Amino acid sequence: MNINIMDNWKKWVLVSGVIALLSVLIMLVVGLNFGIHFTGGIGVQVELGEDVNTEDVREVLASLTVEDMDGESVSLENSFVQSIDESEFYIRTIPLPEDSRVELLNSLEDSFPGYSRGEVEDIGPQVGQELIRNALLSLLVAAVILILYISYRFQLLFAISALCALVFDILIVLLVFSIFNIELNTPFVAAILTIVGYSINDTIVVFDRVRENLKYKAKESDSEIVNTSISQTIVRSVNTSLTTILVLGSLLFLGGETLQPFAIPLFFGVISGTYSSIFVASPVWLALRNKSAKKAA
Amino acid sequence: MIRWKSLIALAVFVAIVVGVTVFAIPVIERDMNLGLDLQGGVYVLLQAVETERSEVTDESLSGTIEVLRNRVDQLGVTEPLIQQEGSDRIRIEIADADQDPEHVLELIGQTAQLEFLNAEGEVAFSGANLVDAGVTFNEFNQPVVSLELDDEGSRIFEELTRIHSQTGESIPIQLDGEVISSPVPQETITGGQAVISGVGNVDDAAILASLLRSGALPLELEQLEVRSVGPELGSRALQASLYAGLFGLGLVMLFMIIFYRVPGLIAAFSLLIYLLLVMFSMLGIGVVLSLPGIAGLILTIGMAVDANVIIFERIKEEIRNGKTLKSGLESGFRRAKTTILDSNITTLIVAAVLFSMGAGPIRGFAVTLSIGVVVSMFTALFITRILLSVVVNSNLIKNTKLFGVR
Repeated sequence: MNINIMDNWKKWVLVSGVIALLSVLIMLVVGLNFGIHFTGGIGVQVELGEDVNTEDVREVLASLTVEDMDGESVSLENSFVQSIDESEFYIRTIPLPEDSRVELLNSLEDSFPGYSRGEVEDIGPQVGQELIRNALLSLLVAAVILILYISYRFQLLFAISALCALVFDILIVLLVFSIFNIELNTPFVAAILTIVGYSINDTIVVFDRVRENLKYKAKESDSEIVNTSISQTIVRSVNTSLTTILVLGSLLFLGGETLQPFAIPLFFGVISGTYSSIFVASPVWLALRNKSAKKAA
Repeated sequence: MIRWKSLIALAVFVAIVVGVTVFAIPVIERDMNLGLDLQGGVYVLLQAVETERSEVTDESLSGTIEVLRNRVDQLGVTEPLIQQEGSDRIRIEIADADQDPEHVLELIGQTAQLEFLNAEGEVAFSGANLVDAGVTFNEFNQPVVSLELDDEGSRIFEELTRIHSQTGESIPIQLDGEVISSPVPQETITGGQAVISGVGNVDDAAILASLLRSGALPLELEQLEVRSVGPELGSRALQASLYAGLFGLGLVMLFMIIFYRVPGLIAAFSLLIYLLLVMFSMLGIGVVLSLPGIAGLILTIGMAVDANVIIFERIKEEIRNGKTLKSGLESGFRRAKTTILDSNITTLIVAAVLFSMGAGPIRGFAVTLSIGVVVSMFTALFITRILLSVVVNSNLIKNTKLFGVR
C-alpha cells in the first residue's frame, strides 16, 4: 500500500486548522455543561414513582424555600430536573448547607409515595475550582515533560507537531462533550486524560517510522519519507483504533447510562487520535521542517 | 519435521494458564476492593478549619482522624476508609450501601465537647477530664449516661456537688454549648462518678456515651463534599460494565484471530494473560476498583493489543521483504521494540504526572493506566514472543498465509 498524503500537506494543515477553529466556535456557541463536580452543588438521583413527570418535580421544588450557604432564603425553582428513566429523576441545585439538603430530600419523600433515594452528591464550590485548576495544571506539566522527552528521543520539531495533534484531539473531545451536552464531571477529566495518552501514543508510532526512514532513506525527500512512514504504519493505526473502538462500542451499548458519558467522547477521541497522527502531526512536522530548512539555507 | 517437544511445552503452558484463570476468577471476585460507586456507600470529604482552640497541624489532624475512626466504628461497617488528604482534609469512605448518609454525617459532625458549669456559669471542668462513659439505668429505670472522671475531674466535681447540694442550685451539663441536663445534687459526690439523666431512650444514651468516649474532635470540620450511592445503582453499574468488558474482549479476540490468524490466536491468548496479570497487580497493590477505573481497564483491552499489532505488522513486512518466517520473527520483534517503548513511555509520563498531581479518582485512574501499560508491554514483548517462537520452531506452520501475509 502506498499512500500519498504529504504532497498536499498545506491542504491538510488548512483542513485540520479549520476543523479545530470550527470546534472552538461551536463550543463557544453551544457552551459546555459544567456538572456539579466543577461548579459545586447538590445532585440527587431519586426514584419517585411511575406517573411522576418533570413538571411534578418542579412544582415541589418551586414550593420549597430553603437557606443557602450564606443563610439567605432561596427558592429551588430554578433547579435542573432531568428524567432518566420512567420513574427515575436527576435533580441538580446550587450548593446548600446540610439542613437545607435534608429539607429537600424530606419534601421529595413526602410528596412522592414511590420515593427511594439513589445517588446523592453534595460538593462545595471550592472543590470544583480546585478540580479545574488541578486538571489544567497537570495537563500543562504533562505537556512540558512530553515535549522534553520527545525532543530528547526525537527532535524538538517532532515534539511540537505531536503537541499540535494532542491539542487537536482535546478540542474534538471537548466538542463532543459540548454537542452531546454531556456534563463535565470527574469522568470528563478521565476521558480527556485517556485521549492524551492515546493521541501521543498514536503519533509516536508514526514518528518512530519517520525517524527510522530518515536514517535509512536519506535520498528521499521529506514528504516522500512521511508518505512511506504513514503507508507502513497505517494498517497498525487502523487496527489498533478498530480494536479500541470495538471495546468502546460495547461499553457504549452494554455499559449502561453511567458509562456512556465516558464512552461517547472516547469513541470520537480515538477516531480523532488516528486522524490527527496522520493529518495533523505529520503535515505540521513537514511544515516546520520546511521552514527550518529555509532558514538554514 | 514437526518438533513434538515444543508442541507439548506449548500445550502444558496453555493448560497452566487456563487452570490459573479458572482458579483466579473466584479469588479476584472475592478480594477485589470495589469503590463506592460499584457497591454503594457514603463518601465524605471534610475540611479542617482553624479555630481559637487549635491549629491545623499533622498532629491535630491525625488526632481528629482517630476520633472519627472511633465514631465510624460505631456503625459496625467493615473496613471504613478514613484518610488525610492534602494538608488539611480528611476523606471518609464507607463502602456499605445500607448506611444512611444523614446518619453518618450526624455521627461524624458532632464535636462532643462536654462541659460542667459552676454556679457562675463558667466551665468548671470539661470532657478532657473524662475517663470513660457508659449507659446505665437510674432508680426510675430511665437510661442515663454514667461518667467516670479522672483525679482532677473527681476533685472539682466533689467540690461542685458539695457547694450545689447546699445551695440547691443545679449543675448545668453542656454538650457542644447546649445544656443537655441540669441535675441538682442531693449530696456531695465523691469517687468521680457522675451521671447525665434526661438523655432520651437507650439508643440516644448509647450514642451520647460513645461520642463522649471517643472524645471531642480536636478540630472543627466543614463538609466539602458528600456522596452516597444506593446499592441498586452500584451493582447495576458493575454488572453492565462486566458484560461490556467481556463482550468487548470477545470482539477484540475475534478480530485479532481473523486478521492475523496464528499470531492473532496467540495475541488473544496473551490478552487473557494480560488481564490476569493486571487483576493480580491491582489486588497486590490494593487498588480500589471504581467505575472510571473499570472503564479505563476495559479501554486498555483495546489498547493492549496495540503492541501485538505493531509487532505482527513488522513481521509481515519483514516476510514480504523476503525473510523467512524465523528470521522475520526475530527482526520484526527487534524493530518493533523501540516503537513500543517510545510510545508507551510517553503514556507512562502522562500517568506519572497525573499520579503526582491528581487527587482521589484521578490517582486511581493513573495507577490503573500505568499497570495496564507496563503489563501490556510485558505480555507483548515476552509472552507473545515466546509463544510465537515455540509455534514457529515446532515447524507446525510453514505457510506465511497463516501469519496474515497475503
